[in-house]
Amino acid sequence: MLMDERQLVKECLRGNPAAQRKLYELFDKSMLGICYRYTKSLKDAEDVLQDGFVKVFRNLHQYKFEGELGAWIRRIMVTTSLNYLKRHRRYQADLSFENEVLHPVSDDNPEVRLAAKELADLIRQLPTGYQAIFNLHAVDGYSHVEIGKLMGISDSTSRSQYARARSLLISWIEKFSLETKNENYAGK
Amino acid sequence: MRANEFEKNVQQKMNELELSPHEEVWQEVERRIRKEKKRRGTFFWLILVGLLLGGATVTLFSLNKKNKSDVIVASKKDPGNDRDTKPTINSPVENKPGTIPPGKEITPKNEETNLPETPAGKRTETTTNAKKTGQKGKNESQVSIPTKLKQVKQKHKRNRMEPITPAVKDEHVSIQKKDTMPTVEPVITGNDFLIQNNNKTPDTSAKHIDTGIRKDEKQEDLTAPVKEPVDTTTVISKSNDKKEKKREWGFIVQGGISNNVKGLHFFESRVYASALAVTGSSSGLSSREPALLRPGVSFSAGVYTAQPLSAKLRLNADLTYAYLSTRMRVGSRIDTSAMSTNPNSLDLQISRFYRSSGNLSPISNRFHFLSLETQLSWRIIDRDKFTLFWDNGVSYKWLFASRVFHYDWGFRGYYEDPRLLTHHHVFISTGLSFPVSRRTTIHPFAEYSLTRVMRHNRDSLRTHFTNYGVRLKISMGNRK
Repeated sequence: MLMDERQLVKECLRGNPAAQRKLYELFDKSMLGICYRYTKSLKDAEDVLQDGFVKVFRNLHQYKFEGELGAWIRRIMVTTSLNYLKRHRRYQADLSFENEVLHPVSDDNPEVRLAAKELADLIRQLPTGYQAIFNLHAVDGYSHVEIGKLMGISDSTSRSQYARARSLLISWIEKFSLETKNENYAGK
Repeated sequence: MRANEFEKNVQQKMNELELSPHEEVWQEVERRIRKEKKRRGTFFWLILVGLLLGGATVTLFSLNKKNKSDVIVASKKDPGNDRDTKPTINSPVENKPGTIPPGKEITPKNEETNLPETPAGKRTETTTNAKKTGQKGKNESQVSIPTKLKQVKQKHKRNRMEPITPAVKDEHVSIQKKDTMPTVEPVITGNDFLIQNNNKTPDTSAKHIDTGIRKDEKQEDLTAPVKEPVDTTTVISKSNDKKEKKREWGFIVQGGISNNVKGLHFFESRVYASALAVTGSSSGLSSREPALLRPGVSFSAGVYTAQPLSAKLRLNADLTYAYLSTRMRVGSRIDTSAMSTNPNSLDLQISRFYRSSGNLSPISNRFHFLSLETQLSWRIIDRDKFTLFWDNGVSYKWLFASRVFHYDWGFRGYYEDPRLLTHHHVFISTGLSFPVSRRTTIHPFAEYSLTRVMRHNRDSLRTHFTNYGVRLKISMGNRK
């Protein structure tokens, strides 16, 4: 049976297990991608995804059909990811912001040559604090004020840390693409 | 420009990122949401069971307390009429009232009391305590009566019994009837201490220690048939019962909140306006679905009568008009004829209906009942300043009028059709009640309809009424 999102949500609210499964299957892959960007391992990403979907079903009645359902679920996944980072010890120490060696930004666009997974893996190599801020601002579109509120830091800190994260990531992307290029040449 | 491009490229790449989670993730999500649902469902039952257990515990506690007080009251019976504390003649005389063979003793009646073999001419009286403590045959002169009296009093004080003063067998009183002056002093039975007379002239102090019955009645007691002890408290409670058994009547008003729920899912289910269509389809009509039902106001007013059944139980009967409602949001009213086709009322011609979309405004589904309820009230707390009843009742409600909207998938609107509703309902209720003044009693309550709101047996329409709130009973007087 063809069900659009509204119908699907209503069926989920009625407790229809098939509808709940369908809603999960509609968003699980893209949402795992989000969780993957914020965490350091696939296992952690799946834990976040699980927590996030439990929150989604628990709070589905709060979804007022204003805006896309995917965007609403995405926000839940992002906040769940941040809470996960704060809650788990292995991330806490890494959430502090340290000065990293920065690389100049090149005019080339090496990031486009990378596959999504490769780029995500590079983002995940950033220190956790940088990783979170970069994801929030560059990918998920949060403003620095919002990031400051979410992470309990000032917006200027968010701004400066984002700049560092960005520079660091660009240098890694360049390095990664150069290495890939050399490997390709060597292969030829 | 480069900066913006970088973000744009990264965002685009990251939006493409999709990873497949393991199957276990969904299994765990499903397990957690089911568990939560179950927990919410059991929450209601826990409350209900808790209330029942709490009520039962309080009731048992109060009943137990009453039994204890009855025991204490029983010991307050008139000592002159109490056979247990009455001195009597030792066996075999006991079996032949009126005959007191020479040489036999009058002793306090006690099964454990055995008179020891005594030397001729000596009169002895032993008690169980005396036997136990090896005081058998101890000379009266060797026992200090005031000391014994003190010991006995202390013992009884410890045992929370009524104070008892020693009853001493006095042969001069019981056999020779020397002293005819009746005494009304309380009694100590033979269990308490031993006094040996030793054929001596009784000590003057012993004259004040009596058997506990009137001395001039002693012979009569031995020969006369046993009279039932008169318990004054029984008389008082009987008179109170008479007083309480007056029928009470008055007015009853109630205010609260009513709703429709699916089955027993009081907290988790969402109920939508009924939709009985044989035409039309629910698919692809996401913006025109039946509205969600929300709780509405309820009230009732009428008369009641209450008949006490016992000191703890009371039977109430109410005859009331009851109004229940639910709320929902509908679109604008259309005064055009339409045809509704539902399984219960085929081809119903409708002169007006409400749209399901557009400018939505709230509207109430109204149910008007005539209700006859009987309740059994159990007094679970009865203190000087606070009385609490636990009320459980069953009621019959006749739906004599209604304005309830049903959804039609065909013309996408809400219409009225009273034939779709169940008109005869049975409700069960529970609650507490406590008087707040001489005439006024407050009853927080909750009730649930065992019968369904809709006549139709479709799964989505198996809804029931819930109603909870506060009743106010105003007593107008008692009728014998």
